[in-house]
Amino acid sequence: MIRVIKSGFLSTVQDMGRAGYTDIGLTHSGAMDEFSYLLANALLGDKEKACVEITFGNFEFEAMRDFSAAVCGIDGEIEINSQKYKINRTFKLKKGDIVKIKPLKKGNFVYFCVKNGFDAKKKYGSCSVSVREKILEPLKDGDVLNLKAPEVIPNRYSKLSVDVPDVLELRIVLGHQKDLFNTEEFFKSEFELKSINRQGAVLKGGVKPEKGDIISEGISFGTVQVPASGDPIVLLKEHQTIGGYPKIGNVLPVDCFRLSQFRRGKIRFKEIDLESAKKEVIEFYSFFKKLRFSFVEMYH
Amino acid sequence: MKFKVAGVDSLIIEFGEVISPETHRLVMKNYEILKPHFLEVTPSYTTVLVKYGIDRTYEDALESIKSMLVKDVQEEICFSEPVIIPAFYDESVGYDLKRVAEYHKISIKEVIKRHSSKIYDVYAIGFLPGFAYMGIVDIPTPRIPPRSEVAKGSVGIAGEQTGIYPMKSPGGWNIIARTYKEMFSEKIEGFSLLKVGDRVKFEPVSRAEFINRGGEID
Repeated sequence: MIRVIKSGFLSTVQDMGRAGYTDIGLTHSGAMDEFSYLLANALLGDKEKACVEITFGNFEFEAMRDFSAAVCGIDGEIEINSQKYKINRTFKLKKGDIVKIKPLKKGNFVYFCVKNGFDAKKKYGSCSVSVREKILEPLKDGDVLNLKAPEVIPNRYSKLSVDVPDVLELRIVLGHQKDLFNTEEFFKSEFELKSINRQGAVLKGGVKPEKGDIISEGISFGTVQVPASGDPIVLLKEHQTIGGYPKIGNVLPVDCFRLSQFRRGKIRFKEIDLESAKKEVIEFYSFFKKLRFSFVEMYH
Repeated sequence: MKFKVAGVDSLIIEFGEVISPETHRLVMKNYEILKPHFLEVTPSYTTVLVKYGIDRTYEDALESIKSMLVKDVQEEICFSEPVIIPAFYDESVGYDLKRVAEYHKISIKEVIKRHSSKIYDVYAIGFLPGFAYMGIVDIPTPRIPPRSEVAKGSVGIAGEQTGIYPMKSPGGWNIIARTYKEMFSEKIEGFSLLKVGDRVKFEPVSRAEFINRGGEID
């Protein structure tokens, strides 16, 4: 068990999300940055367990028994009883430990996993909180979260983390409404990140579609839709299931994970063909399937 | 019928270019056929989005979809009984009743009569879980600048469409009534009270019935 002392800006239980319900308007939700989430799982020798996704860090809890935990993100620090450590590794926590995940200096999300996962409530087949749909609820100060089967394992750490450069390049598979856009200009343009949340990222830049609205149709994770304002929206985990803005294409899921961690700076798009795109995505998931960390005992 | 790439693991089937009952019947029929075979099948007015998965090629998915699709719905469509939505039409909950009446230069009573006498088709579900896009209304009214909060159960009109907010949400539809019916819940079979293809009729109820059945007035 853990007791949340400080829940921070927005902390939610997440897993791989829910599937099969877009026909009744239910979105997928799930971890925004699957790389960090799957890495935290892998370090604990787990797969796709329910975790806590912490937005901007600044999360504090008390361990109410002994267990192993992993914290992964771009970069960051945690404090266990005032002793500081870097993240992207596992920790052995003892009953009574006060753990502070410090405010993030880089990236937007950090993932807190425990060995064998949290025992969180499921709705519609998933533990993922969907903020906009009000499905399950974000954590509050004082909440108690149960663990499925707390266990202490040898520590492991990772030298890998998501790479988020100053100028982010998003690879995009052009879609069926690409002809409504001047794609040559689109690929030459530089965009600025205007705002980002669990629903999507709004970019600043003038790529106006030739047509204002289309008949509403199904949309998915990574879809880039462009309202008449010319500011593209890249749909992320809590995207709506249908939409009526013209779409230029779909950003690779793996690049959406990096975008989720992007805070400010320039963004460019690069075309990728469907076959190479599929290969990239398959490689991403098979990397985690194959990942075996050697046990490395660290002294603390 | 056109097939097009829609991302790394999805394709979209276009059954027509304009909204029509015939096109939507094709959408419905094929949605039902495809639904059990794919990860996600999202129907809308003229299209069906199919998520076939990252581990299949586009060509392979296309071939199996083509072998299942029907190109015309010839059999007699037997219309199902409409789903009845009890609605309390009143200015205390229908913030825009007066606006809609003025827009059409008719009385509030006439707005209620026209909205509740027609049977609507559910064309799509989206925006929020269980939010049904229904049409076509006889009193089309343009959207309004979005309110930051529209109450759960609110019945609205936007253009030629009508819909019900399954939960509290921001929204820009003209609100004319409110229902006490639960639209989306784990307790409902299939979770969403309305499904694409359903027929819907609104039934005016009194303030007393609305409140007795659990309806809330702000």
